[in-house]
Amino acid sequence: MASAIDRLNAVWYQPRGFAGWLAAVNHRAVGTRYMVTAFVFFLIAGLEALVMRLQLAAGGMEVLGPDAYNQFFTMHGTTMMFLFVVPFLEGLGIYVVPLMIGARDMAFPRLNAFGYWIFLFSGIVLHWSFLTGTAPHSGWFNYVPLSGAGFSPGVNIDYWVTMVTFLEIAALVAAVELIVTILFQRAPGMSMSRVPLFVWAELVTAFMIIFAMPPLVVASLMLGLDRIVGTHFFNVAAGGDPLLWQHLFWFFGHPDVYIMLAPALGIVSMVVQASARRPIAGYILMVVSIVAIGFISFGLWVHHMYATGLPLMGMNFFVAASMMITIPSGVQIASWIVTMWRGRLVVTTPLLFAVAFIVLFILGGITGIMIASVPFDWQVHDTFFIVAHFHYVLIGGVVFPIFAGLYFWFPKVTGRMLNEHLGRWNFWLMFIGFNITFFPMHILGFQGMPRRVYTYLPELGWDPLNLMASAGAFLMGFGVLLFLLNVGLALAFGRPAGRNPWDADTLEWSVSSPPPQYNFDRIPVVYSLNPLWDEVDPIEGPHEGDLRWRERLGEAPRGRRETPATTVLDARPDHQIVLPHPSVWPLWLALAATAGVLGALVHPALAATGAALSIVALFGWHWPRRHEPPRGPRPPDPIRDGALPEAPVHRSTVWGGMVLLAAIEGTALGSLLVGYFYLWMGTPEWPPGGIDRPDVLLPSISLGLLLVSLWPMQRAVSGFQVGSAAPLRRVLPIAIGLALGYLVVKAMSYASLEFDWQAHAYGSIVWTIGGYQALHALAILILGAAVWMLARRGKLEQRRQAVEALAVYWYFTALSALPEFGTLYLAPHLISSNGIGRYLGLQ
Amino acid sequence: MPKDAASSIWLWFAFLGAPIAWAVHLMTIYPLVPVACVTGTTVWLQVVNVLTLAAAVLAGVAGWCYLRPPEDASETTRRRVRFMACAAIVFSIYFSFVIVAESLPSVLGDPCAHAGTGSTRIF
Repeated sequence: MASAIDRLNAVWYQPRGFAGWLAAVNHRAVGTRYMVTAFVFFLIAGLEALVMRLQLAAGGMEVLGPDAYNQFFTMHGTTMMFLFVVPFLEGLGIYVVPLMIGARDMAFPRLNAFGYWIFLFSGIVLHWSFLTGTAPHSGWFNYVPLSGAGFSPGVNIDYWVTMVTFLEIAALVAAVELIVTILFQRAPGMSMSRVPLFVWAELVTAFMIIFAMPPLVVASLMLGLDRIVGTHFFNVAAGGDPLLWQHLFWFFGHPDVYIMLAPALGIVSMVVQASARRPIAGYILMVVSIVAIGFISFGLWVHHMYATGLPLMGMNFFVAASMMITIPSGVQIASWIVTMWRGRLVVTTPLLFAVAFIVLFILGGITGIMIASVPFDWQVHDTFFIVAHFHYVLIGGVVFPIFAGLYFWFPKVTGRMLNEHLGRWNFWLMFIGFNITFFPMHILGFQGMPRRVYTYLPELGWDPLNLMASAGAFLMGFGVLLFLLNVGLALAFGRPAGRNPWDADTLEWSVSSPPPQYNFDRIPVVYSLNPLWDEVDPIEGPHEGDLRWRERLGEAPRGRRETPATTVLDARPDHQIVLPHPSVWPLWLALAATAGVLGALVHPALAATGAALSIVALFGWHWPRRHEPPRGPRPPDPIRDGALPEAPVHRSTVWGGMVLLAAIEGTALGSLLVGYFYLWMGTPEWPPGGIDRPDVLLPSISLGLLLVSLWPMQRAVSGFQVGSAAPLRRVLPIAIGLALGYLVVKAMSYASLEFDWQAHAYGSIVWTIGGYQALHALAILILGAAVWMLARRGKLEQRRQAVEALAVYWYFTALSALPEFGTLYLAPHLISSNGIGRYLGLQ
Repeated sequence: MPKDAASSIWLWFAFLGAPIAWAVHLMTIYPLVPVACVTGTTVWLQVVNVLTLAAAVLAGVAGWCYLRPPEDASETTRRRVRFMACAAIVFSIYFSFVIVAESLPSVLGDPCAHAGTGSTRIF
């Protein structure tokens, strides 16, 4: 009879061959791909930096012309921010987090794979533009009006707008995955007070992505519409406002710094803890610090806009917030120092990178406090001082911890140790090269050297420091080459790592290196923050309570990929999740979607084809399949006693995922509504051009229809939850009919408007918000129809979570229509020049 | 201590009340600056300052009440509740401090000042 391990291997199979490789959805495969791909982009962006340093090594060099230099610094920044740091750290989270929390895979493996393919394809397309000489050239921040159609004709900026927006889908997908997995799939006993700091850091990061990325998507959408279909969001002559771009961009951009930094803090905590052989000092303070940094990072965006002429009082609010964020950062540093001070420190390459991070991050933080002050910022704004500051934060504060993480987890990923001697050479070359490169830039900034210039006059006296910076950059590049050599040698000849080469405390070190496909044959049970340093072994026990379900999952009796779901706060076993098998459909969907997005750049026919193929791919992805028997030995009969329930007792992962989707879309809607009021504030007349205030009758009817649809929807869901699909079959068509009525009346309302989206900024924002909401209504119609058809065919029992997903999305769509109605239709009547608007300076 | 205290809404208020109060504070006082400029009074700014500071402090008080978790709960739950209570108190202290720091410009500054740039932008 086959052993339990054989059965698990058969159930958690990885298809062979190239086609099997393409179909992989396991979190370790996806996480590794994210990291490797992101590292390739890091090398490309690093080479771009070296070419730029060659150009700036002396005044009057002619390595790059002005336009090529613009493309180089734009692609360098864009690649580092969007294609290296964030995807790499998400990839590391995707690889490590499930292992660290004792799960067998992430919550939605196919979605995970889909996110990776989107990331890969958008990166390739973005770099294709580089090869054709039409790469974006307005900086990674893409300020308007420079990036508008007037000053940047051609497709350069279109590549940025479409591909960066598309790329955000991957970031958001990974964020949803991480949050749901962390909240719902932690090992029994791993309550919120026993979650490793790296997991806390990834959780905070993921939440930041959920709320920071949608404003960037909205801003990019507005810019794309301005460039491609002639809207006027940023066109001053038609009532638009360029500063709206800066507000939306930096509302994403500043949290993005901490989106990159927070996982780095988590990496350093894990490395310091393992190296010191003692629990991290002040765990609660560390958690509070990470969460506080996550919150405060959203209150700093205006400190990128001190030179735009905003009111001093408003800017000073952000000065205060910028100063205050140093406190949680300082708490982290104090904790690491205390942990190392009181531990038995084993100095290895990961620790060297972690300690260097502390030093460099303090330096970058100090210059950060300096430029948080308005008068100082005005002096050094757009000089090389800023370049020095943010490279100390982003290379010192993020890339060094990434290398710490690479050296720390490489043995787990590959089963091989990296060479320590080469590692130390790698570290010192990078550390010395980094400081030689970027420290002189502070002085260059004080001397007045502006950033984003392709050359300078030799007589300005900037040559020596620039030459020094360029030499340092090549030294750092040589350090990175040594790392690649180290990786190559380790893969070929590296010493076997064993399970736990660092004597670390977290659960990923309890399994073999590399781990098996199912991660854990028996799900670990956790009793403290440092499970592998406990007296009780998290795998072997002895454990308390009824854990028969654990043995059952270890047998894989039904040939399904099962992993337990636990409660959010205390991680009590709740139900068992069945995860999907490998599939190539995520790849096809990503390809079709990429083609659709490319259509915006190439030809509308391609967009239509991509959209049609995406629908086909979605059908393929969700097409009900017969139960797949495991390959290999037959499973034994199911062990009935003690099994976890199949249906959730509390909330399911699908519910969690849909709530997060609603949060993403709600944030995007919020950004659009803020844009509406912002444009209003800057316009002497609203609505402009003698247009009447909006008619309320038709919008009221459409809103009423949508809100009334909640009643049959609730009847349908509550009936289904108590075990009967009959109410759902009966009343869901009523809800669908009401939602259809909403769409029809809304269309009538828009058809009666006397202006379109090209008339002025007011038209642009009104039509965009209306279109955005109409898309939601269309989505619930399609979802509702699909669920009703499943119910009619008696197939809903196998897809119970579809009802939960539909309900969450329906509620979100209906309730989000309220702020839309209040903004577009009520506000112009209530906030008039005779009312509150008089006090707001409105007309 | 309310029934089912280990996951009650008060515990969540204690844990997240202070950071949310801070977020509400910043997102409210920033758009209120032009109102203060046009009306010539910062009274609404001060109202927001006081209310959000009170909410942040109250969250800390709620956290304090949870320092002794329900005795009938499991050891895991008790530790977790105590963890959330301690975090709530630290959050409360920190975010109260941030709210006070952000309030200072509204007490000491001029909402119409533009640093001599000639700009009349309100946001």
